[in-house]
Amino acid sequence: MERDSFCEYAEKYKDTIYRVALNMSGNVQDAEDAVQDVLMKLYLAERPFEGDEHVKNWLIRVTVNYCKNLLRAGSKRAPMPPENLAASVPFEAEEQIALFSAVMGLPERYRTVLYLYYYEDYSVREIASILGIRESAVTTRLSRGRDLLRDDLREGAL
Amino acid sequence: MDSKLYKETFSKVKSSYEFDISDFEGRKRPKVGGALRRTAVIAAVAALLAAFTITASATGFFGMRPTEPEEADNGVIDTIEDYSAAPESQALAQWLVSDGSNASYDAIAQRHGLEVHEDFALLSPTEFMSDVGDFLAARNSIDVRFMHEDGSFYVDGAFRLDSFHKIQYRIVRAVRGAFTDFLPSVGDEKYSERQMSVGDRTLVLALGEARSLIIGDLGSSILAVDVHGGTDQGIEQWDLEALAGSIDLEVLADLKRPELPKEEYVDFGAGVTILEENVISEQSFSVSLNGWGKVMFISYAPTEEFEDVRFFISDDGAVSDFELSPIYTGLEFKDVAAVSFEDVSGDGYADIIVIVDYAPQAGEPYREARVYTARGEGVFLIDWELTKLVNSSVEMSEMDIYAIRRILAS
Repeated sequence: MERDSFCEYAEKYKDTIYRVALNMSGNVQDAEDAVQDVLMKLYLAERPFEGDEHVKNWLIRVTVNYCKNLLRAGSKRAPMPPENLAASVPFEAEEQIALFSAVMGLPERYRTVLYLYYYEDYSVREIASILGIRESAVTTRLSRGRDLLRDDLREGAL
Repeated sequence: MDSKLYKETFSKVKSSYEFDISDFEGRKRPKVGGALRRTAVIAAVAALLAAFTITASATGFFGMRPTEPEEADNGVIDTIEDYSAAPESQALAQWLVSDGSNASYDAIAQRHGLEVHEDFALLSPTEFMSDVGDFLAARNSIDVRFMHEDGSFYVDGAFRLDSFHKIQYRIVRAVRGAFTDFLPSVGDEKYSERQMSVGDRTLVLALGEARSLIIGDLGSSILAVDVHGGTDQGIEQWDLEALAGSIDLEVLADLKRPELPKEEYVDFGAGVTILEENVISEQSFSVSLNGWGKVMFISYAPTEEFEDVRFFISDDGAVSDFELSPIYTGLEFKDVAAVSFEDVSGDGYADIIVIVDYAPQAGEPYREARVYTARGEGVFLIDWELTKLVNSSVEMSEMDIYAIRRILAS
C-alpha cells in the first residue's frame, strides 16, 4: 500500500482493530499484538481498495480471522477478568465501567456481534458475512447477548 | 440496549500502540510479534525463500520452494520432496507468506489449479465415524474433527506408545485438486526419511528433532500426519512405524464425499438432541461456570456402539451451547467416575477435570483422566499437557480427584 495512505489508515483504524480483537480475545496483549500484525498485513497488501469503508471492512475481517487463528493454533492467552480489562481503559463515568465490565463478562460469541452491531453499525447480513456465520445465528446471538446484558446490569452483578 | 451509552463506552477503548511508520518500512514481518505460531511458520518459510536449494537426500534438509504452477508435480508422492512439489503443498507455501486475505486465498488456489473448499463442519464422533469409518486402531484417541464438503478432514489426537507415553498428532486427509490450508508444511526441520510399505502403498516416515511427518499417497487424496515431536522427545522411527501401522489406509483411500450436517454453524459442535435415558445423572450438575453463570453440566453416555462419553454444557435448558472436546478412545465406555470444576491453570477461571472408566484392558481396569482448561469465555479445550501429566503420574488404581489435585499442585 502507498505510504501516505497506509499512515492515514493506520492512525484512523488501529483502535478499530484493537476493539475487535479485544472483544474476540478478551486479552489486552493479544489485542495489542493484533493491531501490529493486522496493520502489517495492510502495509503488505497489494490489492486496490475502493475507499475508507472498504479498508475498514477488510481490516475487521482480517482481524476476525487473525483472532480465530489464535484460538485454533492454541496461541491465545487466557482472557482477563472484566474488572482488569476495565481498569485498562480511562473511563469517565461509573455507568461506562459497568457496561464495559458487563459486556466483557459475556462469552465471546455474544460480545463480538454486539460490538459490530452497536458500535460499528453493521447490519445483520454484514456481520454474518464478516464472521462467516448465518444471519439467523447473528440475530440469535444479538438477542441472547442483549438478554444477558440486561440481566447483568439489572442485578448489578458487576 | 442503550446504544448511545454503548458507543460512548467503547469509544474510550483504544490501543496503546503509537503508530510509527518505521515499524513497518523495510520490514517483511511485524517488529514484535505476538506468540503466534503462524508468524513463526511464516518467518521460517520466508527464510527458506530467501536462499533456497532443494537437495534430495535420505538425511538431508527439506523445505518448501513455491514454484510456478507449471513446475508443480501431480505425480505419485514417494518422498518428502515429492510432497513439497505437489501443487497442494506449493499453494500452501504461498499462502503461508501471503497477506492472509480472502482474495489472496482465491488467487493462490486458482494459480495452482486447485478448487476452493465451499463448506466445512465440526463433527461429532458419531457423525465423523459414520462419514469416515473406523480407520484408527484402538491405541488412538482423537479430539477435534473438522471436515470439508469433499471429504478433506483433519483430526487432532494422540497415539499411545505404551502405558506412559503418547504421541500427539494431527492427521490430515486432503483430497487432491483442492486447496486445503491445514495440510502440514514441511518447514525447515531436518528429517531423516524412511519409506514403509503398507500393502500396495508407500508411506514416507520423516523423523525430525522437534517434529515429524508421515506422508502417504492415497491416489485421489494425500494422507499427512503432523507429529508433534521428534528425536528431542525420544521418538524413534519405529514409533512412527507403529503410528503409521495403526491407520487403515484403505478406509481413507475409499472415502466418499460426505453429507455434512446442514445445521446452523456453532463453534464447538452443539445443537444435538439428547436422550434423557443416556444422561448420567450422578455426574450431571447445575454449576456456576465462568462466563455462563448458572449452567447444567451434562455427562452423556454413548447411544451407539463405538461412541464414547460426551460432556455438554447447557445454559438455557436446551442442549445447544457447548460440548467439551469429544475424545474417541475406541474403548468400551463404562462409567464417569468423577467430575470436578476447579482452576488448575491459575488464571482465575474454573477448569474441568473428568475421570472416565472403560472396560478392562488385559484384565486390568482402565481409567483415564482428562483436564479441560478454560481458553476463553465459553471455551474449554482439552489440555493435553496436563492430561498427559496426570495419566502418567497417577496409577489407575489410585486415580481420583484428590490424587489429581496433588499432582497438579506439585
